[in-house]
Amino acid sequence: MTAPKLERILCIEDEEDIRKIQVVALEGLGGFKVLACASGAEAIQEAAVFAPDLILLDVMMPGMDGPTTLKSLRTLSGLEETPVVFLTAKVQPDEIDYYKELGALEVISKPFDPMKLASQLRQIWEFRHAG
Amino acid sequence: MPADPEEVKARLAELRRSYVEQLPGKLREIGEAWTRLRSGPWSAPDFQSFHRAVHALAGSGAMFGFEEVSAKARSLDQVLKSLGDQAPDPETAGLISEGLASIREAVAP
Repeated sequence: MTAPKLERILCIEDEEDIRKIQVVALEGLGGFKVLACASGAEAIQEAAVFAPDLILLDVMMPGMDGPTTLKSLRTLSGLEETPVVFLTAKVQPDEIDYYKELGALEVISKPFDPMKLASQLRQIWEFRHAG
Repeated sequence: MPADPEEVKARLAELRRSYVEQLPGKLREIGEAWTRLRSGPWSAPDFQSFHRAVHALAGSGAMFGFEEVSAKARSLDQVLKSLGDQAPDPETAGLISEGLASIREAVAP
């Protein structure tokens, strides 16, 4: 069985410069439709209508952090099982396990390579649907 | 549909150019915010805003290849995080000023 197509990605990142990089990289190299939100609160407002296939979520954000945002997103209709990839600085192996326990499918560390981000997410997506 | 990778590289390079142009102004604003915090009555919201700006610098600096700026901003971020929203004692305030100076030095050509 072939994996469903990865088309729509919701990026949640408080740093404007990094959001811009994500949009350029994911739209440009992945051909994805991208919605970039500056906060967990904004994402919760927009996510259900956007209906992402995958969510790229920054861990360290002021106000509502990544894990708290994930909990709230999971209560929204249609997002109960949407795969979430955490993005965080200098992640340690035990932290990766912790984030996966919280519900992250995978963790990508910052700084990331913009030229590889789209293919990284595609690989994560395909691996998930292969198993 | 995906774009030509060279086109994406050019757009990323443009983002970097814009970041480099704006960096001195961002540092100036961060420095001024700290001066206001030190000289006036302590304001938790202003401190949070200052802390967010330092945290953002740590993340964005690394993304645009300013590793030293990012490392120094991250060290300062840790000091600020340890404060919660409380005003720093004189020793910690000195550390914060030194941290900001070291970031400015890392940016200077």
